[in-house]
Amino acid sequence: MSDREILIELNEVKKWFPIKSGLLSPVKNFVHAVDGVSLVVDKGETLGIVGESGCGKTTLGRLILSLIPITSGSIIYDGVELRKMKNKDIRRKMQIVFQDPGGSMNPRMTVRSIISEPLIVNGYSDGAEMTKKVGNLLESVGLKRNHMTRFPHEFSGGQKQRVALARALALEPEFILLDEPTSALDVSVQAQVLNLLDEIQRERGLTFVFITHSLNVVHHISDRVAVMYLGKIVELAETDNLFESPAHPYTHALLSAIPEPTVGQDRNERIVLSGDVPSPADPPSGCRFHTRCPIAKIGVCDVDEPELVNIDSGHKVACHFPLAPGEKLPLINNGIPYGIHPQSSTNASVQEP
Amino acid sequence: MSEDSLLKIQNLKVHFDTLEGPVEALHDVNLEVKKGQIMGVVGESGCGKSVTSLTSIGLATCIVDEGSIKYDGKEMIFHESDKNNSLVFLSKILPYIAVLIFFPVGFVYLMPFMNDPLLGFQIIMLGFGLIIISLIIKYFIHSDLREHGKFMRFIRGNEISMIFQEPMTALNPLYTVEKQIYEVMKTHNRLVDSRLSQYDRIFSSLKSPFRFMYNWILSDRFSSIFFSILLLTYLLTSCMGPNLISSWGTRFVVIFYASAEVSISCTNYTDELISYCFLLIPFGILRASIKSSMDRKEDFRKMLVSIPYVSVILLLILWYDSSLFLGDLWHEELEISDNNWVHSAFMIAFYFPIISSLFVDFSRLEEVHRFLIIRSIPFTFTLALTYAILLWTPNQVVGTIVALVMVISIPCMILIDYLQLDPAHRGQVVKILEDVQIPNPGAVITMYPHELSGGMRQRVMIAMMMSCEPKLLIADEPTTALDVTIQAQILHLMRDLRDRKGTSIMLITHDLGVIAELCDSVSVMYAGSVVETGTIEDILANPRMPYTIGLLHSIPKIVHSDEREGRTSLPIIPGQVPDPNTHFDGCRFHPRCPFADDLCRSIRPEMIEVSEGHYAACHHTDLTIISEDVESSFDIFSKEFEGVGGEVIVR
Repeated sequence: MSDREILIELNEVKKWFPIKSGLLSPVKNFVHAVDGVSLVVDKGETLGIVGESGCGKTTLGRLILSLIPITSGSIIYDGVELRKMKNKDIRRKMQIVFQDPGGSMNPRMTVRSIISEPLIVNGYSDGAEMTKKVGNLLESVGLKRNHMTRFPHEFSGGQKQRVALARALALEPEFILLDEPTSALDVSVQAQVLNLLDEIQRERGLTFVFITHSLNVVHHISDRVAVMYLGKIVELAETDNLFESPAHPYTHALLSAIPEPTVGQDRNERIVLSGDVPSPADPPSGCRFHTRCPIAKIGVCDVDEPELVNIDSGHKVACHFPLAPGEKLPLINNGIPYGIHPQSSTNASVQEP
Repeated sequence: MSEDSLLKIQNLKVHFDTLEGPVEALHDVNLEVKKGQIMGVVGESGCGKSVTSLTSIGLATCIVDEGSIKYDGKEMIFHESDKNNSLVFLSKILPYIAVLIFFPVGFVYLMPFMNDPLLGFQIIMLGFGLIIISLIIKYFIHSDLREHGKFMRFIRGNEISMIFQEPMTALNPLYTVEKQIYEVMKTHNRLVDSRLSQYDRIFSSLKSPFRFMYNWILSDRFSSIFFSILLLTYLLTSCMGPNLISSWGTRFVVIFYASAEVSISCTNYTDELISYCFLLIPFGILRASIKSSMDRKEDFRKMLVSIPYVSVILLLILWYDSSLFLGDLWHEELEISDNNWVHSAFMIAFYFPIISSLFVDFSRLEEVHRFLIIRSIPFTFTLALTYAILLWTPNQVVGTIVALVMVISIPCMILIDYLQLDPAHRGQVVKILEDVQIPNPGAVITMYPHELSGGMRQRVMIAMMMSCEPKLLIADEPTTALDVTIQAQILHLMRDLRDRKGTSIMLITHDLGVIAELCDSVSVMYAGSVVETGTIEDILANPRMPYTIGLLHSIPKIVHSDEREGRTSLPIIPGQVPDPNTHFDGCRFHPRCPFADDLCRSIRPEMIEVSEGHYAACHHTDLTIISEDVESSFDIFSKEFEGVGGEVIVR
C-alpha cells in the first residue's frame, strides 16, 4: 500500500556469537543466533515476532535497538543507518520493555526516580515540572499519581510492567520494542496490560515490535507476524492471513500446538512435532526445519536453503513446498519419523496426535 | 464414589507463620482425584494451587488448622493423639531442674576450698542423668509422630510423586542423569541385583582417574601440546645435569605420563586382571630405582642392573598396548559373549600382537579405530622412554611423585565413585529413559542436566518419577517453562503414561489451554479456596462461577477475520487477586464480581451442585446460566474500574 511509511529496515542482519573453548585457544565455533534476517517495520504498525526459545527473537530485538553490535548486514532507521547514529539519539527514538519487570528496575530507587532517570540523562531538569511529568506518565499507564513514592517491590507484577512501560514512554519515543512483556503475568492481568498497550499505541501513534512466544497474544496485538526458526524468518504475513492460511509447515505445527481452552468439535487436530530445536551452533544444512518437517523431501530440503519469497501480497514464506490455503499437514506419517534424520541417534518415534 | 477416589482433600485450611503474623494461604479447599483420572487445578498465581499439592504430600512448611487429606482411605495429616499430661510436663521440667539446681551445686563442690570434690562430681552426673531421662520420655511421647514421618516417607515416591515447574532446579547439576535416577531407585528399593560384585566396582572406580587423565591429555589439543613441550624441556635439561631433575616441570611430566600408561592398560574393560597387574609396574620400577640408588657410588653397576628391567618393561608395554587395541577390535567384530571358551582362546592368541595383526582386517576398521592405533604408537614409545628416565631419578623425586600422584588421584577417586554404576542398573535406567521417548538414551545417561534441553530435562524428571511407579502423580506446572511444540510432546507423554499404567495425575497449571488438552475434570481455585469443580465439559463449555467465566473470557482468542471487527480491546476481570490476609465475611471474589450484592458481602457461598458432579461456589448461579450475559456484564463492570490503577477496592 502507498500510505505505508517505512520506519525500520533490516537487510540481511546477522549476529554470530563466538564460542571459545579455553583461555588461549582460538574461536571454536559460532552460535548463529540471527542468520540473515531481512525485515521492514512500517510506521504505526505492530509487528509480532514469534518463535520457540532459542530461535533468536530476543537477539534480533536487541540488534534493532543496537544494544549489541551486529556481525554483518545493516539496519536503517528512518533513512539513517543505525551504526552512524549517536547512541543517545537511538535511545531517544527507540525504547524497550523487558520481560521481567522486577529484574529491569533498580529495587533501591523509587518509581519517581526510575521514570525520571531517562529524562534527566537527556537534559531535563529535576524539579516540580518533573514531578508533574512523572505523574502524567503514571496516569497514562493506569497508575495513580501517588504511586511515584513507592518502591518496585510494593507493586504486583502487572503494576510493575505498567511502571516499566511508563519509563519507556518517558522520552516520547517513536518506537518501542516489547520483549515478552506479558509472559510473566497471569491471564487476567495480561489482558489488562495488552489493552493498555493497544490504547497507548492508538493515542500516541507508536510503532511496536512485539516479541513473544504466545501465539494468542500475537494474534491479538499485531498487524503483521514474523515466525522465526533457528535464526531465520520462515514466514511473514498479515496476522489474519497467517493464522488462516499458514504456508510454512512449522507455522502450521506451531498453530496447531496452541492449547485452546475449548472442548468438543472446536478443538484443532494437533500436530506433535518430534524432537527438539537443533542447536544454533551447528544448524542443519539446507532448510533448517527439515529435521522435524513432516513434508521434507530428501535431496531438496536437506540440500538447498529456501529463500524468503512472496507467495501472496505481503505473504512471504521460506519453504520449498509451501502449503496452499486450506491444505493440511499429514498427521500420521506411516511410522516414519517426521523429518530427515542423518543419524540414527536422533530418531524419535512418531507421536500420533 | 468413595471407592474409586484416590486422593480426597476436605475443608483444608492452612496458614503460614511469618514475622508479620500469620498468612492464611488456604481457606477452604475440597478436592478429589479419582483413580486413573487426570485432575486439573487451575488458578492465578497466589491462589494456593501449589500449597495444596505440597500439603497433600507433607512437604509444605505451613500449619494445618483444620481439614483432612485422605490418600486411598489413609489419613495424611498428622493429628496429635492425647498424651499423658504429667509425662509431658516432666519431660519439659527435668532439664531445667538439672541446669538450674544440680549443675551449680555440683560445681560449687568442685571448688578448691571444698573438701569433697567427689560429691560434686556425683551431683553433676545426677544432672546429666535427669536430662537423659527427659530425652527418653520425649522419645516415647513422640513415637506417633515418628511413625507418621515413616509413613509419609514411604508414601512419597512409592505412592505419590511430584514433578516441578522448573526441571533445572529440581535436578542436581553436579550429578549425571543416570546417577540421579539410580539414586531415586536405590532409595525406594527398585534396583535389580547387581551384575558386578562390589569389589569389582571399587577396582573400576580406582582405575578411572587414570582413564580420565589419559582422555584429557589426548582429547585436548592444547594440553597435549603443553605436555609434549614439557617433556621435551625435561629431556633437554636431564642431559645437562642431575640438579635440574627435581624441577616442577619434571615432576608433572613424569606423573602424567606414568598415570597415562596405567590408564592405557585400564582402557580395556574385559581383561581387568591384566590391567591390575600393570598397576604393579610403576611399583616395580620404584623398587628398582630405590634399590639401585642405595649406593650412589656404584653408578655404572646400577645401570647394568636396570637394563633387564627396562628391556622387559619396554617389551611388556609394546606387547600389551598393541594387543589391547587389536583385541578390542576383534572383540567387537566377532561379538563373542564373555563366557564363551572360544572367545578366551582367541583372546590368548590375540595378546600376541603380531599374530593378531594377521587376523584383523584393517580395511574393515572404522576410521576412528585406525586413528587410535596410529596415535598410540608414538605415545607408547614416549612412555617407554619416560620409564627409562624414571629409573635414574633420585629417590626423593620419586617419593615426591608418589605423594603427588596420591594427592591428585584421591579426590578423583572420590568423584569417580559417583560415576560408577553397575551395568545392570544402568540398563534399568536406560529402559526408563526409553519409556519417556528420549532419543538415544545410551548417550543421555552420562550427561549432566545443563547439557540437556528444557523438554529433555522435563522428560528426565518424568522418568525419575516413573522409576517408582507411583499411583498418583502431582505435576506442578510441568509445561509452563516449555515452548508450545515441546509442551505438546510432554502433555502427550503424560496422557500416554496414564493410559498405559493407570497413573492418576493431579495437574496444577494456570493455563486453561493445557487443562483442556489433558484433563478429565477440573477444579478452579481463587484466593485460597476452590470455587468451581466439575468435568472438563462442564467447566469449559458451561461455567457457572463468574470468576471462571471471566478467566475464560480474558484469554486472547484466535478468531477469523470476518468475526473480528478491527482490533477490539480484550475483555478483562477488573482488579487483582486480593492479599491473602484481607478478611472477607462473604465471597472472596465479590470486589471483582459484577453480580456482587449484600448477600455476597456478608455470607460465604457454599458449593452448590448446579448439575450432576458440577459444583460452583456462588450465590447467583441462577444469573450465570448463559455465559455471554456474564461476559457483557463484566465488560460494563470493568469500565467502573478505569483510572483506579488496578487496585482492589473492598466495597
